[in-house]
Amino acid sequence: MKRALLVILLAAAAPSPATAGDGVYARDARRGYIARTLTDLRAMTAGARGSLEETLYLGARKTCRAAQGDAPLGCLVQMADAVCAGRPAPEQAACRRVADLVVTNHRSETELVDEQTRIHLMNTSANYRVAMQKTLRQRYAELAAELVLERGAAGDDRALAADIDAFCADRRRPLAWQRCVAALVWYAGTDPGDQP
Amino acid sequence: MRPIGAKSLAALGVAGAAAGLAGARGVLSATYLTRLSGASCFFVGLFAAVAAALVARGWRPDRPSRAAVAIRGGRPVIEAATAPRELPAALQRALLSLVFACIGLGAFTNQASAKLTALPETLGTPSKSEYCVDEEPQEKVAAAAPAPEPEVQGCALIKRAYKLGYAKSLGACAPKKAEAMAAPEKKDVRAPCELRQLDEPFLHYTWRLLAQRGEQLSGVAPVDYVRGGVRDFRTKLGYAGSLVAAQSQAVEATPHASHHLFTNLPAPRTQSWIESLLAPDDCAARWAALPIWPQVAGAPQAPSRLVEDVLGQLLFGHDFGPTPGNCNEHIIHWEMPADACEQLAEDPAGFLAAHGALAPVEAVLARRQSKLELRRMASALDRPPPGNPPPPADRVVSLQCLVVDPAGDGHVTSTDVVIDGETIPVRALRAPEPVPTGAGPLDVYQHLAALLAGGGYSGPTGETTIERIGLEPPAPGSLSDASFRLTRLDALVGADPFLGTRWPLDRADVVEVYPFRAHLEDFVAAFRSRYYAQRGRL
Repeated sequence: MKRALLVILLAAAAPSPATAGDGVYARDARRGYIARTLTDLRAMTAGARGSLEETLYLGARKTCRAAQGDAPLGCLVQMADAVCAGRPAPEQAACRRVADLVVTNHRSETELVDEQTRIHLMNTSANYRVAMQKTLRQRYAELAAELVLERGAAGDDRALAADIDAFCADRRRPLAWQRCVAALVWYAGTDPGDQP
Repeated sequence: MRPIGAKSLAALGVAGAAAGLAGARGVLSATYLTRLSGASCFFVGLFAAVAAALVARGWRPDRPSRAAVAIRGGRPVIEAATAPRELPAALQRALLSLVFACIGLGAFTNQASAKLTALPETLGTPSKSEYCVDEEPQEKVAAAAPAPEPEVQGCALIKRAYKLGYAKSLGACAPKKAEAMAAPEKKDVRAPCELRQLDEPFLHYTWRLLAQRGEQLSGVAPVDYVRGGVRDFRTKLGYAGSLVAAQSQAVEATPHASHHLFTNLPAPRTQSWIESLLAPDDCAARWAALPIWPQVAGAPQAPSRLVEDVLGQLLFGHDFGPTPGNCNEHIIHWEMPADACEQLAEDPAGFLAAHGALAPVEAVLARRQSKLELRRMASALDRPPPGNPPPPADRVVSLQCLVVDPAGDGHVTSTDVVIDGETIPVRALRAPEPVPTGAGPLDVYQHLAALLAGGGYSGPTGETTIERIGLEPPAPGSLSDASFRLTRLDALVGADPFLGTRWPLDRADVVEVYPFRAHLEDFVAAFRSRYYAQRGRL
């Protein structure tokens, strides 16, 4: 009896080979993360969100030299982690998730807005960042329209998170999963009126 | 037991066969039926009603059959019967209607119905071969659109720098077609149309033709005219074989190219004769609907399916743009001996004949020869040669061997064989059995690309991919942290699995979100630019 129990305990403790159901990028884990991020984003006030965006933007330029080209990912993560570590403890996890969106969206700017459009914005607008955010918002809206046309309107946030994940994981789509998710969650979780 | 009427049995049998055939062709599926246009539904209904009514007139379902089938001694026997058991007349009529509805569903597709609907308008439109009809100006624009120039490795950076003003010239990366494109546009000067005008009376047109012929003959010396005709006739007689061959090749739809891959892997699927009759294998449809990354793990004959899918994606995958090839001209020969290429080198004609590949190869070579002969004939007649010169034989015929060998090193070897006087290279590659899971498909992509097109892959060439070059590939442990999941995953945008970052494909959770589509696109684009530079069609 004791031997049998020991065998069961050992079997339970033994590491199982990685399957699609394990790991931080497994389907359920991904959908849970998307749903939590969406909730965090909605719970954040427009002012707090704008302040976090500004802090991360300036941090990327100052700490990671983002103004001189693509900032190293490791540096961006460390910088954003440090920004959120300075917040009160209960807000830190939510801050990290929203910061994750901000940094990923920033990295996908050059993919969503082509070079000619960026040069045009630079030459024709008084404030490049504001014009860029407006253009990005349009791109996100196009992506969101595609999502609704393909998968229909979601009932609640969990269903929306599942739809976003399935939509973005579709290999036919040229946009990488994480960039597609970040764009859609930002679009769904922010009010258009808050935008510049 | 009372015998059963022959008409009832026939109605049941024919209706069952028609429904079975229609089901096998997919015309009874809900998807097909819901997508039928209103016109199609109308034509199917009309056809079924009229045909069933006509047949029922002779069928006479309300009268009993003269012959009946009875079971005597455990065997079916046909006998004359006075009052056999029959299906109700309404049911027989319904079964007949079902038969014709099934036929109608197969015949009146949306496209066919649209053509039928447009038939009255088409009949009223004058034929371009009989009348002078003004052509649409859009056709000229479409024909004049230049083909995109293939990307050259290393030029993307220079082009981008030039575009942004950091470089003064493109140097060796300047478009090769620049001169041709800069050349003054030729005006489309056409000879006046001498066909019948739209408002020209028939007698006037006839008189015009007679007068035209008379004018042509008036300035010609009859003896010279006849002599020239005889000379042309003799020249053509010398090329009679080629002329007849060219006609028969066009009528028989002889293939324009013939490419063969011999492998000792088992066939990925088997079709019974009835399956191949009802639903013949359609490579174009099969390869058009391939997933971006092969998903054959767990499927029967997974290694063979993997090879087939990767080949289809490399050559014909629609996700990576249109391709000039025709999948029917690329044949995979399964279950070949491991020394197929050695046998091929020893006795090319014998080996190809034994495996059904000699006929298509010879047909293509003969078609090419006919084209060459017709060009020679045109030259002998002092006329412009027809069309472009045919490509060399080794561009329209190719022979390859993919041999699964545990000791294989994945290197390509090449030998030449002579078929019908033409030298054709035979390329062979030996490699261990393809692994359909994890990063295993990468090897198949690389082996098939090397076998079919030669050379290696050294990274993307397109301008749009420039931002991914030079990014540091992430370490396997970098994606284990639960925080900043999206940002950390972004490192994979620059991690090209074809250039060595294989580990994400071996991680079951990461593979679902690994952005390898862009990397695969680059790989396929690089392969196609190499492959289609070496291959052509007649």
